[in-house]
Formats: sequence, structure tokens, C-alpha cells
Amino acid sequence: MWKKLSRKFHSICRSRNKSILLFLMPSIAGVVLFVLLPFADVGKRSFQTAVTGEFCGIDNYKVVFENQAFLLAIKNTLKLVMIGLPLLLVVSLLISLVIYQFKWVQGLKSAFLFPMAVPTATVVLIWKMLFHNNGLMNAGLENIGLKSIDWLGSNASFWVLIISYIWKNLGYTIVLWLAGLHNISEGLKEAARVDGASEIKCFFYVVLPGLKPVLYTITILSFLNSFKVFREAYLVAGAYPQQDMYLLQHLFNNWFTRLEMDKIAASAVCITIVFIVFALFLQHIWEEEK
Amino acid sequence: MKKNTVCRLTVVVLAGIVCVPVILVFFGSLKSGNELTDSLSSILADTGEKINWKILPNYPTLVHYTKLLFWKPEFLTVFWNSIKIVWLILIGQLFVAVPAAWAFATFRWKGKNILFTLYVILMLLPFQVTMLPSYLVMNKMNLMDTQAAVILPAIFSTFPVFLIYRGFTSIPKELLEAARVDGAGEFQIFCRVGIPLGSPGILSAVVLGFLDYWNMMEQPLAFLKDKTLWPLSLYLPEIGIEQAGMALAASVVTLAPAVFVFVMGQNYLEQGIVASGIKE
Amino acid sequence: MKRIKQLTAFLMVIIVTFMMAACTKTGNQKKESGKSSISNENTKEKESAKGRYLETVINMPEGFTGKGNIKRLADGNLMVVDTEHATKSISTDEGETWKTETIKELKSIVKGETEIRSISLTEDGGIFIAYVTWGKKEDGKMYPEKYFYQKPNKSITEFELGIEEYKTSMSDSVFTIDGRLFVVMMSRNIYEIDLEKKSAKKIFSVENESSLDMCLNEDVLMILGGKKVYFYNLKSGEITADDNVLNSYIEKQTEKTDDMVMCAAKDGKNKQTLYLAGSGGIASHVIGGSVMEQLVDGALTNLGDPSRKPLEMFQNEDGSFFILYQDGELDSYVYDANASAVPEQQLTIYSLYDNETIRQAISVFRKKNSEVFVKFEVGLSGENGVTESDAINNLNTELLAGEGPDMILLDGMPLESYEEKGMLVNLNDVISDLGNANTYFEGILKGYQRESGTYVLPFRYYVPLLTGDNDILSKISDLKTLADEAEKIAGLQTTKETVLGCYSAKELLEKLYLTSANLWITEDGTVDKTALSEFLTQAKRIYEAEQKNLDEKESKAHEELVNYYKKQCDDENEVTEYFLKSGTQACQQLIKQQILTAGYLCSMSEFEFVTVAKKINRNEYKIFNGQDSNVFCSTGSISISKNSKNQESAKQFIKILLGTEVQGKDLGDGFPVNADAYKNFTKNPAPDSSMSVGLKDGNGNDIKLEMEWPKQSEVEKLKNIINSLKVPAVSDNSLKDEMITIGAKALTGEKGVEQSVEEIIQKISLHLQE
Repeated sequence: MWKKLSRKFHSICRSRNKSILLFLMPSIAGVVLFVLLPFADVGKRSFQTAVTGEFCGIDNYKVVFENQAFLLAIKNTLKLVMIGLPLLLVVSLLISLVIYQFKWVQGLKSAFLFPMAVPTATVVLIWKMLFHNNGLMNAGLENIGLKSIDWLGSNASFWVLIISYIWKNLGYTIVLWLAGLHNISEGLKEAARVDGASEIKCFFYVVLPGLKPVLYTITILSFLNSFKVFREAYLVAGAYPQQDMYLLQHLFNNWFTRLEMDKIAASAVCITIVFIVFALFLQHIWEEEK
Repeated sequence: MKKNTVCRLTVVVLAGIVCVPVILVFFGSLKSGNELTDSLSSILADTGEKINWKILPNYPTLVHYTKLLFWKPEFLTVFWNSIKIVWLILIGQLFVAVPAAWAFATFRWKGKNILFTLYVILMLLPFQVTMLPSYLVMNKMNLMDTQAAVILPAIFSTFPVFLIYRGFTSIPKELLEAARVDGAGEFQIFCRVGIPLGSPGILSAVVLGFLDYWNMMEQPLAFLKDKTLWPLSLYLPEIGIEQAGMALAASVVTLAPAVFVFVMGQNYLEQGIVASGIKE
Repeated sequence: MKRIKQLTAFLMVIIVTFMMAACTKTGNQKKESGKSSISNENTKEKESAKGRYLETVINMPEGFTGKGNIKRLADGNLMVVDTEHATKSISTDEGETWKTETIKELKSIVKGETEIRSISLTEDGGIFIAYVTWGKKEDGKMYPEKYFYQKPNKSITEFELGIEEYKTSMSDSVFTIDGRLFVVMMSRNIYEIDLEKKSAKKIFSVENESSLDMCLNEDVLMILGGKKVYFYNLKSGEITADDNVLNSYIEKQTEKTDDMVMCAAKDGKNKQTLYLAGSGGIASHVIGGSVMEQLVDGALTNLGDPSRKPLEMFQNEDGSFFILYQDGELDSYVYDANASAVPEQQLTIYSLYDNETIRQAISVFRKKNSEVFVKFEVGLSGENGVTESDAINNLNTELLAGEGPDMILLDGMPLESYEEKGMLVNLNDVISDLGNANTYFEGILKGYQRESGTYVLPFRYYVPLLTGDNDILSKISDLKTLADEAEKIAGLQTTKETVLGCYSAKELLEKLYLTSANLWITEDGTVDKTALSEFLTQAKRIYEAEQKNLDEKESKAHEELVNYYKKQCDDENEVTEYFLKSGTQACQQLIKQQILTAGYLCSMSEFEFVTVAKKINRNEYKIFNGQDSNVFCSTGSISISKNSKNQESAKQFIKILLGTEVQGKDLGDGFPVNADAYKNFTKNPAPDSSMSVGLKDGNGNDIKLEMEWPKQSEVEKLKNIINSLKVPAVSDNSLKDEMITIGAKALTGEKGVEQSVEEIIQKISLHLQE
């Protein structure tokens, strides 16, 4: 961090860079104060005991890695991202492919975007009505003749998370895909067809590559939003939901109730490292494209 | 052809399904208290029966809305708090994030990528992690239990920087060079070229931001003790049978501004998302 | 098209902005009143740094215990009528000295079983009393209400009015300046009584039960009826009750305690003002205005003490207030502009739930340490979506940041975490100091003692009690033997009712939980499978024994009753607790709904029921042991935070909390840990009165119980039981609900016992692994 700043100061002689600094200053100042400093404090705490603040080396890390609940939470969060994210991308892509040829594009887009505007508390209310043992979903299932599912009390709870996630995020992903689709020139597709490629081949070799830039944005945004599922899960199922619904934030929340700040700090540092790797990885792939 | 119709139908049905939950809430808020008790008792009181919910109310009534808006002075306070907090955050973000995004988008300098990656990572951190240290910072600045404790950190969030940056990158570099050649200063370029052309991106960040902050729950809960400072999102009570009607009505009222902003901004949202999605 | 869209959008923005501005105006107004009514929960005044009302005791005539009334006469003197001793006293020097004389005619009335329903005094010394004589039933009339009126010239009239055919009696009465008498009856109707013509005319009725107080100001009669204030204009006859600001304030204040009194006067700016005194303090409200102004903070005065209830209130010419309390104390509240608004030193106590004993202790502490302000913060007000873990998280944030309250009540919180993390102060020295001053039930006081020290001190607890036929009881010593006996009882031909009064599996598990749950989780944080399955197996036997003699109708009726109660109460847990109490169950036993009772004793009034039940059957009682024995259920445990900067004051507070004065008062929330205080705690509060309670049994027959305060022998026996208690019951309730829900399935046979144990382990494994 300091290295970056000093480098900047060196090139301050050029006036253009002076303006860069001016443009960046407010943001950086705030970020440092309200985001970086707190995070640095978290890093410090990861090496200390929770209340008394004594230095304890990597004890916390050891404890965290052996902690069953932590491993479960990581597993679930990974599952959510690994399954939810691709699922979201695929479903939204399919839908946008269909809508692309439609006339009522506007209306459909609005319909899918609508869930984004719904406040969390309302979503919670709706999920309660739908997924309760006596709720609407089960009533519907029984009407068709299927057995009712214990949505919130069994493995199905994971799918509740997924459904919630996809429902909320379909909208903008579709919009993004559509925009990307628009951008693929018809000419390219025509050329491919003339060359004898079937529709499917055309799709895989022309369309998909053309969508890559959009994919980057969608991935980052959807990844970010996957963490927001926590609040709804928490309000619907409480601090100790069914095992498959148990996410990292549940763990943090409960650890905090027991004053286990040291464990939270250690896990946070670990997760951040993962994020860094992930972000670098993504950037690497996309930078290659340029 | 047949395949196409099937596909189209599926999509339309899906769209309908996606909207169903909201329709449920809306019509639910129009049902009278008794109807709601009947319908919801099986869920809330854990009897063995299935829920009995008709979509349209038998006796539509606005009583929940009147109760909420006229008999609960706290509701108006809380509503106004939400509006105040969200607008202040958004305006602040405009002043902070837009210039920063411009700097990332139009200039090249050492360390830019690292800083930007840092921004992205910070964007992803869940709140529980930084809650305690943020609390310490707020405390030192004597901002605890004021709305500033919620507003300030949000203004400096790195999320809008990310979104707006992508909007700015779609502006052709040639345009900027031309302006520079014409002798315009950086700030002038920013104001005359950057903002107008990047406005879809900026507005989309505003709309997304509004939707995000309108629902914000963790930060106010942690930093605001005084209940008269709470935003709307914290006010919606745990739903019990007597209050189901009011909770539904409150949900609709909470929903309304978000929908309004969304409807107004949808075009910009799309344009902005579009612009940010495509790098020429 | 686009233009139009843009224009519409623009217009909408303008409209909305205007609406919001308008909203703000009303919002602000309502916010202000909303703020006052909301921020009454925050007892810290942010306004001025100086100036507050000081509370001083005014001397009252000797022997006055609150039965009577006081009035400021037109000539400035104070008049007190004591209806217990039938005396009238006058003071010319603001209470310093009193001249007392007996009212002969009144004396003959108040002898015997007379209850004074209402007494009000006129400005010129007239006395009006409404009373009912319980001892005599007169022909055709059920305990008629009679009236006694003594004019200032000492002439006396006595009469009856037969209002509503004697079916109701008076609740409050007040005289206008020109001698008109207005009264409010228990039937919530307001009448004007003409003392000359001896007639009553009905004026109107108020809505709500409880708390009925009246006062007058010039031409307006004001009646506080439950949750509203009714204004009756004497000249025009108009009745209004729509001062929303006032009404919502009252509604908030009377949520917990009903007692509120009021008086009216013209304030400093010559505006008609209403003053109200309740547990939140004294507030003033300009009639028709939009604001409630808090003048006196309840927490700083006797008003905040739950055991003191205001009876009458009036304002003196200099703006100070006199409030008469139900126990006979008269306090004056005088504004001192130089006193600091809030005392310099501050102690904060945090609890998730409200606690009566703490409030009591605060008031006692405050008297002895008036320079310390004690603030009691309650985490869960139950009104909004704040969950328990949210509240605890907020508390923890403060604690981890090095701040937070001085003292924490750990009920409902993860006690062990606070102990283990070093968050609490070692209280061993407090224990030895306490031990030097008084005797304590050692087992309970040291219940949380660890090797490294004692960090938590219980100050209130419930006693688990088993009652039933002595022969049966002698064979029961733990859970297994309870199950054995339950099966035997259920198998008898003569048994028609349930054994323990549990109609559902969940109810049964709730009953058995506290005395057994300790053993299910081992030291190193895993579940003891054997203990848990043993528990469920025995519980299942008891459940089947219960169900043997129950038919569906009874179960359903009981379920409906429970649901009915749940709707009435805000807090469902209150209802569950209600059915766990020994007192409630004793009644059930008497009406033959259950044979044994296994419950938790929380107050002397319950113990009264238990001992009275002894008279009727060959009932006895003994300690209730589940899988674990000698368990006590702490309902109040206090600790001091390491972060506290006032540890010495905090320790002082705890010593008062566990001192004889506070511990000796029975507030219904548990028994005393202080053994010396046990004597006062078990003293009969109303030795001369006798009461009978009517119960209806299953067949509709009436059972009349003559209530009798427990004899000394019983009190001693209970003391011995308490002496044996030493194991604290589980304090963290986060696992309870899940265990009970799943365990219930094992009982009803839906799942096997082993299966349920597995499921429980799986469910709570998350808790334990974290």
C-alpha cells in the first residue's frame, strides 16, 4: 500500500497525474479509513485472543482449520457458489436466447428484473409462506399428487437457497446476456452459417466467445450477490438452520454471539486470501482476452 | 417452429412464476385481518393443516394501510429515515466514486491494477467480519448511534466504483485524446465528456445502489441503538398472526419506492449494465 | 414518446418531493411525539445538563399506611383522612406537624370487614367515602355499596344508591370546586352523584378496564380509562377522547404496569396542562398540544420502583408535585435548577429480559447512593424484528471494543462463553463480604463457582417441586422412579385423569427439561448419547402413562385453552411458563385434572396454593429431581464486566441486590438467595384478611378453597428443600426448542428413541462444533 502511494508521489510532477490523484483522493481516503483500517484490525486480531488481546501466534488458525462447523460452512458456501453460479448463468442465458427472438422483450425483461426491487423483509415473508411445511409449495405439490417436502428441515433447504438466489438475480443477468447478444454482429453469424456450420456449432463457436466480456461482469456481480443470500436465510430459518443451509456468515454470526472474535478474524483472513486468488485468476483470464 | 413456441411459452410462464411472490404479498395486504388469520394460522401456529390461501381477497380492505400510515407515527419516522439515509449515501457516492472510477478508466499509472483488484476484493467482504473494527472506528470518531455511522462507510463502498468504471471504459479513447489535443483540462474533460457519456453507468450504479441500501439491515442494526433513527428495513416486525396484515402492508409500502426507482431507472439500468458489460 | 416519458418522470419526482416534504412536516410532528413516546424507553435525557426534580419524603400523620386520601384545602393546609383508623388530620406547615382527630361515625363503619372503594375530599374539608361491607349479605342485595358524606360543618349523611342494582362498585371519585361529585364505577360508567338529592345520573362510559383515575381542571373532567384519557366538558357536555399523542403515550407507559395517576393545572404559560405520573416518571402535556414532555425520569425516583405504586397526585401552587403512594408515603417533587440533570457517576446494567428484582434493587441502591445514576438496559423489548442473537451481538460488539455495560444479567445468554473468554470479574470477594453480613443458601450462591473463581451470582431462582399423595411421592426420587410410578398410577382403575397434567409430548418435555438437561452435554462439548436416550425412554413411559387416561376431547379442550392464552399474551413463553408453575398445577390437581404435579415454584402466593392443596388430599411436596438432582432454575444471574470502570460501585450494587432488603420482597420472580431475607419473604403480607378462591372441576362442580398462608412448619420445610439445591439448571436455551421438537416425535412414537437421539445430535452438532 505504501509502495503504491510513494510510486504515485514520484510521478506527481506530471500534471496529468496530479489530476489523477485529485480524482482518486476522496475515494481512497474513505476506503482506507472505513474499509482498510478495519480490515487491518481484523488481521491483527487473528493473531490475538478474543477478549484479553494476548498474542497467540497461529493458534487461532489451527483451531479454525480443525473446526467442524467452519469446514461445513465453507463446504456449503462453496457448494452454493459452484452450483448456484453456473446454474444462474446457464438458466439466464437460455432464457435470454429465447427472449432475444421475441417481440415482447421489454415486458419480459421487466418481469424478470422485478424481484431485484423486493425488499429483504418481504422476501422473507414470502419464503415463509411458500416453504413452510404447511406452505404453498407443499400444498401445490400435494395437489399434483407428489409428496410434500420438508423444505426447511432437510437437504432441500439447500435448494431453497439456490431458488432464492436465482430468483433474485435472474433479472440483470438476462439483461446483460441480451446486451451481449445484441453485440454479436449478425454478419459473423451469417458467415458461419454460409460456411456450413449448424445452429448449434454456430452457437458454440461464434456466440459464446462473443459473450465472454459480459461473462466477466456477470460472474463478479453474481458472486457478490451470492453472499447476500445470507440475510434472507437467517431471517427465515434462524441462526441454526438445517445443515445444508449453514453458510459462512451463519458461523460468523454465532461465533460473535460467543465472543469468538479471534476465530472470526482468522477465518476472515483465510477467506480474503481465497478472494485474492479468485480475483487474480479471473483477471488473468480476461486480461488474456485483450 | 413448434420448438420455438414451446420455448417461448416456458419463458413466459417462468416470468409469471417469478412475479408470483410479489403478487401474493400485494393481494395479501388487501385482505382483512380475519381472512389472514384463517389463511396463515396453519403456518404461524403450527397446526397440522395446510395453508389455505386464495389469491384474491374476499373482502378487500385498506384497513392495514390506514392503520400503518395514520396510527403508527413511528412508521413515518422510520420511512423518512430510510429515505434520508439512502439519498445521502447515493449523493455521497456520486461525489466519491465517480471521480475514482474515472481515474481508473481513463488513465494509466503504476499500481492501478493492484489497487483495482484491492477494490474488488474489499467489495466482497461480508459485514460480520469488519463489524467490530468498524465499530471501533465509529466510536473513535464519536459517530456511534448516529446515522452518519451507517452513511459514511457506505459512501466509500467500492462497489459503485466497479460499476461506473465499466461504464467509463466504453467511452472511446480517441474522444478523450481529441479533447486533450483541443486543450481541455482533465477536469473539463471529466465534466464535459466523461459524465455525459458515462451517465448510463452512473445511473445504473445509483439504481442498484438504491435497491441495495434500501434493504440494508446489518449496519443499522449494529450501529444504531436509538430506535428513532432506524431505517424502514429494521422496522418490519416479526410476523405474528395479529400483525400479519400490517406487516404485509408495510412490505408493500417498503416495496413501493424501490419499485418506483426501479421503473424510472430501468432504462438507464439496462443501458448502464449494457455499457459496462461490453468493452469495445 | 420519450419526451412524454421524461416529462412524466420529472413531474413524478416533483410530486414525490412535495409529498415527502409534507410527510416530513407531519412526520416531524409525529416524529416528535413519536420520539417522546419511543424515547421514553431511553432513560437518558439528552436535553439540559442541569436541573432536575428532587424527590423528598413529606411527613405524614402517624400510622398512615396509605388507606385514605390527602387534599390541599382552599386555605392552603393539607388534610389527610386515614380510613384505617378513621381519623382526620390537618397540617398547616406542609406536613411537619399534624393535628389529628377521630371521626366517630366513620370508626363504626370501618370496623369489621369493610372495604373502602373510594374516598375523595373537598377543598373545604368535606369527606366522601364509598364502601362495601363484605361480612353482611343483605336481603336481596349482594354486598351493597354505601356512601358516607361528612360536610365541612361536620354533619353526616349516609345513604345507598343502588347504582346498577348494586352489581358494581366505585373505583374513583372527584369533587369539582363548586361541590359537584363525579364518580367512576368498576363497570366503567361515569356518574354524577347529587349529594343533596341522593341520586345518580349516568354520564358516559369509558372503554377499557384497569387503571381508572380522574381529575378535574376548571370545567373539564378528565378520566384516565385504561389506555385513553376522556375529556368531559362540564358546561357543554361534550365528551372527547381523541388526543392521540396523549393516548399513545399512555398506551406505551401502561404496557407493563397499569398504575398511572394524573392531575391537571395551568402550567407556567397559563395553558391547560395535564400531568401524568407512572412508572416512566412524570410527564406533562398541554391539552390539545402535540408533545409529551418528560419532567421527571421514573428511573431516578420512586416511580420507577415496581413495588411502589402511585395513588394520588396533585400540583402545588409553586409548580412542585405531591404524589401519594399506595404504601402511604407522600413524596414531593421540587425542581432544582442547580442539581445536575443526571447524576455524575453512572452504572449500566444490561439484560435481555426485564427483571423486577433488579428494578427494586436499583431503587434501593439509589436511595443510598444518590450521586450514582443506574441505568437498566433491556435488550429485547419484543416489539420489532430484533432477535436474541442480534441483541447479544450488539452487546458483544460493545464488550469486545472495550466498552459496554458495567453489569450483565446472563439469563438467556451463552454464560460459559463469557466465563471462558475472561469477560467477567471474579466475585469471590463479594461472596465473602456477603457471607460476613448475612447467611445465604450456599448451594445457590456458589452454584456457579469454578476453580478459577466465581463469575456469576444468582439472585433469584425457581424451586423444582413435586407434589402428590405422600405414599406415591416417597417412592419417587429421580426420573426413572417417576416413570415407574406414573405407569403404576395410570394403570389403576380409579385413575381418570392424567398423571402430570401434560396433554402433549412437548408440554411433558418442557416440564422435565430443566431438571435433566444438565447431563446431556459433556464437559468437552459432545452429546452424552446414553443420558439423552435414557431421558427420552423414561419420558416416553411417562407420556404413555399420561395418554392412557386422556381422550381426544380433553386434549383438544386443553389445546384450545392454551391457544386462547397465547393469543392474550404478547409473549408465548409466558404461557408455557404459566403451565409449568407449581401454583397453576396445584389448582389443576385440585380440580382433578392431574394426580401429581412436577413444576417450578416461583413465589409465595404459589406456595400458598401448594400448601392449601395439602389440606384437601393427602398431598405432600418434595424436591423434584429429574435425571439430575438438586437443581435450581436461576431466573436472575448477575455478573460484572471486565471492562467496567466502576467495579467498586458495581460490587456495592450486587451487595444490595443480594442484601436483605431487596431479597426479602416477593416480586413473583423467584425465591431469595439470602437466607436471612427468607423470613421476610415468607411473611404473610395481609395477615388479617382471608380470601377464598372458587374453582370449577371437570364436571362443573364448584370447589371453594379457603386460602391460608403457609404455616411456619411448611415454610421451614421449604427452606430445607432450598438448602439442598446446588446445581444450576442449563442457562442457554438455544438448544431447548430443537431438542424438544425432535424429542416430542420420539414420545409420540413417530420416530424411534434411538433415531430421535441421532437426529438431535445432528441438529445440535452445529451448536457444539462452533
